[in-house]
Amino acid sequence: MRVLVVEDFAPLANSMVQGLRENGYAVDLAMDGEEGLATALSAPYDAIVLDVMLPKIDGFTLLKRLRQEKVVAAILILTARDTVADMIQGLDLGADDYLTKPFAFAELLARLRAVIRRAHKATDNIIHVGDLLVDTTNRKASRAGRALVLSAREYSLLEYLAVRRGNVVTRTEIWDHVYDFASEPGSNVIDVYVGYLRKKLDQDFKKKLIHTRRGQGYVLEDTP
Amino acid sequence: MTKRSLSLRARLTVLVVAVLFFSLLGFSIAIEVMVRSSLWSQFDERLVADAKAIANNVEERDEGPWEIETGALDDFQRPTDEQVFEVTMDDGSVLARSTSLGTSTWRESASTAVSPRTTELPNGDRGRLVSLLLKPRYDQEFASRASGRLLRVTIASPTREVDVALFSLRLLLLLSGFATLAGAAIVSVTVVRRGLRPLLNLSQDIAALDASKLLSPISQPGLPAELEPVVSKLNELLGRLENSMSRERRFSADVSHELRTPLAGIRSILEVTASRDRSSAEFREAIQQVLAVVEQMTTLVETLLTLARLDAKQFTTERKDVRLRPVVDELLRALAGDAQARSLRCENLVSDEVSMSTDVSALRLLLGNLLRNAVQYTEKGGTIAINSDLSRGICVEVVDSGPAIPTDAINRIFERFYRVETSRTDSGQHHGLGLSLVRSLAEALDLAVTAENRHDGKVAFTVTRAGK
Repeated sequence: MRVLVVEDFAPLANSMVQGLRENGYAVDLAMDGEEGLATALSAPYDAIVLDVMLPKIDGFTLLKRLRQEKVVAAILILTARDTVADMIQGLDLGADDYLTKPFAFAELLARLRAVIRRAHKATDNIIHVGDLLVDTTNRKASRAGRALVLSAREYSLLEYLAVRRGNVVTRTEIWDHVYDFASEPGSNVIDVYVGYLRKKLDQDFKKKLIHTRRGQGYVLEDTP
Repeated sequence: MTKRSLSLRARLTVLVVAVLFFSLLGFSIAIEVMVRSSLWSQFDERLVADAKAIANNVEERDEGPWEIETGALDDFQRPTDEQVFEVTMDDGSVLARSTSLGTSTWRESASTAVSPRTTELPNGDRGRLVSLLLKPRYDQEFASRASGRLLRVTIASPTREVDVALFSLRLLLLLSGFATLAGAAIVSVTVVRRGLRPLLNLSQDIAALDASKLLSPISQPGLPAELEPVVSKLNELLGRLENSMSRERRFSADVSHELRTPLAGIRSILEVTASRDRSSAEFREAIQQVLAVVEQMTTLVETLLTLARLDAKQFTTERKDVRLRPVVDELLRALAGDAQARSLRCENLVSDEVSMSTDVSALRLLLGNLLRNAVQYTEKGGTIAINSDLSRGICVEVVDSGPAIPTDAINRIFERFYRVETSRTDSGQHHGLGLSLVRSLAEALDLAVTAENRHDGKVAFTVTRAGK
């Protein structure tokens, strides 16, 4: 899942980026409102963590602009402003959730999972595809009761495919939602990782769950 | 123990009723006195007329007793009147008396004249009595010459009619007076209530003011002219209060933001770092990051405390002569690293002999913030010059090479937490308190500080003696 952090206080911003990356998110950082707007419009983010008191463009204005531009990303407001009026304004402008500083990092993670889950119209943090089970809370997967040993990146890829289960996921979408821009672009890195995942997920089973749609991408589904 | 003072309404009502009571009382007394005296004078005139008429019925004789027409006297003792009279000679012998007196002695019998007075009639009733010395009728036919002797006619008449009339008058006055008073009391209560309604509404409006909510001005259409200055003054006051309160609210919101954000940073760094096993180098880096944030927070808290002390006038200053140049040198040395990082050239143009009587630590704090502001906001590669010209009243002048402060911001840069957003490149490092601290410190030292954009593109912060 790709997340944009818009926060102007560098120590907080940097530690959030680190913490989110370590929890399997692809994270980008913007340090002021203008940069936040440009970045948010440049890629399809799953979630945006937005501070309110920002230089150049304040968070509420930015939020309004993003919703006007039809940005569908789940937006979580993160701010030191804790009055009910601020909260109401933020939510009414199109935010999905509101968290006041200082916050527990575990709570930020839980709220991010929740807003992303809702964005994908899921009700549960555990996704079932046939006998595959993806636990997004604990970032673990198992098939037919046997735990799968996955690297962070493999898990992220599986989670994204599981969230979009039944739908064709293009390479660009995987690129946008799963990987940090730091990875070398244009290579076949996605195909390589899908290959790794396939090996761990489908090799020991007769029934394959990951299917290649030639010229389109991949789909995770339990075909009858 | 406080005695609850009477309401304005009660006071006005009582006053109106009291004034009315006393004027009614005076009016009634005047009427009563006038009517009474006129009734009595009429009564007395009749008595005197009767006495004269009686005397006129007595004829003087040379010899023998004086002749009296007893038949005519009957007119004066009408039984219904219960009027009594007595005619005596100057030697005390009774010439005639009303039959109702009989032959008993009448205690009013006397030899001198008596002006009209109240008396008790023989039958016990209240009456009025007059006794006159009068000449009898003289006729040449019966007497050769007038003897000059006088008759004494005493006449008393019951006053029942007058008494009844006066009693009715008094009753009438009393009843009508009380009725008027009661009516006036009711009317004045309603009139006063209606008249004071704007005042009552106003006091309710004022009572409803709540300092925890927005203070909206009081509006009362059709306000009486007397209350208009009160309300307009009050609204002016409310406006000022609301301004200062919203400034206060904004200030505390800013403070909470400025303190919560670094706290969130510390917490986030610590939680993320503690979430998994790491190398000691990673831990060391995290600790350094936290320390940097703590340092920043410490500066902020110190600044806030200093501002609070300055606000509460608890900031003590100890004045002595301070040479300015070494102070500026020392401050520039502390900022040299930052200045160098931005390729700024700082010049201390203060001459050696400049000295002023001031508190050295407060002055150091003031100039330090002013210089730090210049170092942070002057364009890279620019210059900063510090000068002083006491002959022109300028204590210190910090002139940098710009960029100019936006005109809409120049009046606000001394406000707390105000930041010129667009020029803010190193976000999260400044709280926007430096210049407001400069201004508060200047006030504590009886100095004034101003900012101006000069025509040559330079920006000058000038510290002068206050009031010059």
